[in-house]
Amino acid sequence: MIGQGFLFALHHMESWDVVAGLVGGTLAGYCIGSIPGLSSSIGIALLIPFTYGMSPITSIVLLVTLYMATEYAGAIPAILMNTPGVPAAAVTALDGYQMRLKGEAGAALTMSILSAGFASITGTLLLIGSSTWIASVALAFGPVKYFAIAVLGLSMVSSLSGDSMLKGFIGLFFGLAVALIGTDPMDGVPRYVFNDNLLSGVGFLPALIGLFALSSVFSLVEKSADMPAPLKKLPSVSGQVGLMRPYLGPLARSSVLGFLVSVIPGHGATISAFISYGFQKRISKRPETFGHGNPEGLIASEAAANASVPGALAPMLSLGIPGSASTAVLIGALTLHGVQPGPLLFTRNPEIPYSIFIALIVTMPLMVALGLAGTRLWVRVTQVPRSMIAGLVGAMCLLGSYASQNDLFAVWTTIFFGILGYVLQKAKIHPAPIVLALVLGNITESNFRRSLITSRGHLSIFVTHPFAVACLLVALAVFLAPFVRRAPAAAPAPAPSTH
Amino acid sequence: MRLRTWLSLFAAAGLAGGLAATLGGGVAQAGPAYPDHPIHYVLHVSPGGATDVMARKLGSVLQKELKIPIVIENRPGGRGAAEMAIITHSKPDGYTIGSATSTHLAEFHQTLRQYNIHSVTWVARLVTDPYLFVVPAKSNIHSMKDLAAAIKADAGKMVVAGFVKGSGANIAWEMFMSAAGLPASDVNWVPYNSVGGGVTAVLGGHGAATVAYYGLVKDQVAAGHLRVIGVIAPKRLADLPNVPTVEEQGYNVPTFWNQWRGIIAPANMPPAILAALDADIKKAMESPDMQAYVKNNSLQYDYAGSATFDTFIQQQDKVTLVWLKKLGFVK
Repeated sequence: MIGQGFLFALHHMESWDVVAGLVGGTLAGYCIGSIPGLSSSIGIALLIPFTYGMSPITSIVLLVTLYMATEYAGAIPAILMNTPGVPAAAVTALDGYQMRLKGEAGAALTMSILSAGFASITGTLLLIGSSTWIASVALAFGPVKYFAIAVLGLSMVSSLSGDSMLKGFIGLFFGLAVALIGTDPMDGVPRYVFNDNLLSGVGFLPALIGLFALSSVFSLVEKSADMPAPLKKLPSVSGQVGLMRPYLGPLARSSVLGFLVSVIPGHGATISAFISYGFQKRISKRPETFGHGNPEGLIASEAAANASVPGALAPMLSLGIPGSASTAVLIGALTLHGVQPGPLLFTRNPEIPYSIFIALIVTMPLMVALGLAGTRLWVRVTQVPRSMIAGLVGAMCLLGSYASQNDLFAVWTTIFFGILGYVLQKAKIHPAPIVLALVLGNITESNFRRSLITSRGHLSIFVTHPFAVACLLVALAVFLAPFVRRAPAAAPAPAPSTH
Repeated sequence: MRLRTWLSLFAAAGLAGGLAATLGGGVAQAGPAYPDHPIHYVLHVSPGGATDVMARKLGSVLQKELKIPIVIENRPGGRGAAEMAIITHSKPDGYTIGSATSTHLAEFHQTLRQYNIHSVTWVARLVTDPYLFVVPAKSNIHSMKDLAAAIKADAGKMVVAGFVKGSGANIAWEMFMSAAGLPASDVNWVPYNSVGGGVTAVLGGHGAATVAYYGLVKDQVAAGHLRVIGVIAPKRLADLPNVPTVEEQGYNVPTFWNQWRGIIAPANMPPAILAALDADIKKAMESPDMQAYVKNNSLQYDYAGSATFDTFIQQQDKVTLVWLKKLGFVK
């Protein structure tokens, strides 16, 4: 059955147009992904008008490879300049940028592309094996389970807090407060809206660009007189691949985890990356080095983010339900070509899902080759004087922010969060928990309220589903773990410090 | 091939010279050749959604027809606020037009109270999406009567998963409840972020019913996952000949209540320009390209020119206000 599908799709794909779509999609994805503000969903939407004249297969191949390459390429500026090109790369920046500061930019970039490549292949194979049934599992997620898994996601704050839990929670609650601004998701009542532009809430991309990218521009300016850090030499290509050998465990785990999380509709690359990063830190032997340039963190984030692409495609292909913002746009693109993703897709247009599978697999070597070769080029960015980088990235931030919403208000949002991010940096409060809260705030609130409306206000609804109870208990354990673990270690510490 | 057709079209247009404007239909009488420079089509949605994709398609057809670039601008900020600001601050010269859906009317009474239906010119209605009552295929509910009985039998317990409260879909539901003589509190309307969110919830068994559009449930119905038990429309849909209207089933609801997509422009538009624009859009909508698009996306082709559209808007606005008051969203 599956074999037949592949042969059928291959038959449709043997044309130069499709090959051009593959190569074009990959190249366009690299460009779009590395520009902050242009996320994969915006990239796909921007390219849709160019697909009007193409066949449905060529256009879906082009758009899916673009989606894939964009999700990876966001890591490049995240590692080199602490400027996530796509939201999920904010998690990659946590350790990736630290590695770059230690002169390991080449290794970090190599690991990121190899993790992305491995995770995409793993995710695609999982998708092929499970595409017809896994989405029905995802459907079982009602408000209660959504709420539980969102709380589990929020509990990852303890992995993102660096040295001080208190500062992590300050970030988290600030982010949750910001997520409240805008029109109430249930009743449509405006909350803290002092300007019409806030009716749809604080723009996520503009805030993210400000918190990460613009704030690091300010620090670059501050240190612009410093000489660029010396760059460690990169091994040969075979040596590059060898860099991954100690990390095969985290790589495989994160790929599977990233795929599973993203199958649940609404949980895209960013949430996958956060959960995978938090999980990897919990089980790591050296959790204290996370956030200080531990390759495990980088791999956990990149693998999960890239495995989430095939993951998000699962509910789209079998149910017509978008698993992420990007797949929502893909559905729009397919319907434009008269193809309706949904339960009848595999019988009505089998060439579409199978050409997506083939595109995902065939693009991978191309993407990895481009990434590995490009690494040698991109690391040179670290040798460019900081003042020049600061100017360039600053301009890119504002441009990207404007492009994300087509609105000057977005630029002001970025500037506000840029200044805020810089101040927080001085106070040693990391922006990651804020981003976590911005991603999950709305999902948590909506599903909490939906659950309570369903139960007519009885909190007992949260203990009626075993899965939800398990998630909430694990979340509680994760919240409390750092306090428990630290207590005995902290006891002897105060003695020498009392002067 | 395509390029050559294009070139020859252009050549033909060139030969026709100033007559190119007549391609727009009735523009010749409209005075100095409107349109002679790019038209900006401002959308209140982000790129990629259903409204955006259709607007872009219409833009490309109009562009071919008028030989004038149609510039699509997405201004998704502030739930329509960004778009409305541009439309109301532009000249009514036909070079700035905008997208509108039923949601605009609800927003005028809630979050965007500085505007009302007189703040813009209602140029044309393009398509409509009637509201369907949908249940899981394995449910015992087969008709609106069954639904009313099930609600009564299980008063206060039934979960209905649908778009946010005060939305057109929610109002459609309340219209049925009131026609059936059932108090609104007899069901739990659990709000989702989109109409599609409600459909997903019902598919997953997290709701006993929802109110949706045909395009969102078509394949799920064909695949045997969902069942449509009623439609709010003046007559049955051609695509669903076996689904009786809600009115046919004995419930007196306003049959004109539906989700629509249309085009707006700045207020006080000169009649000549409005007529020309209206005619151009009508011609584009009647093109085989747009007709195929409307059919593929299971929308109801429901073109209405400015005069009819304006009357329709006044009627919709009245009903919207009445129901927003009943639901407690407007005092």
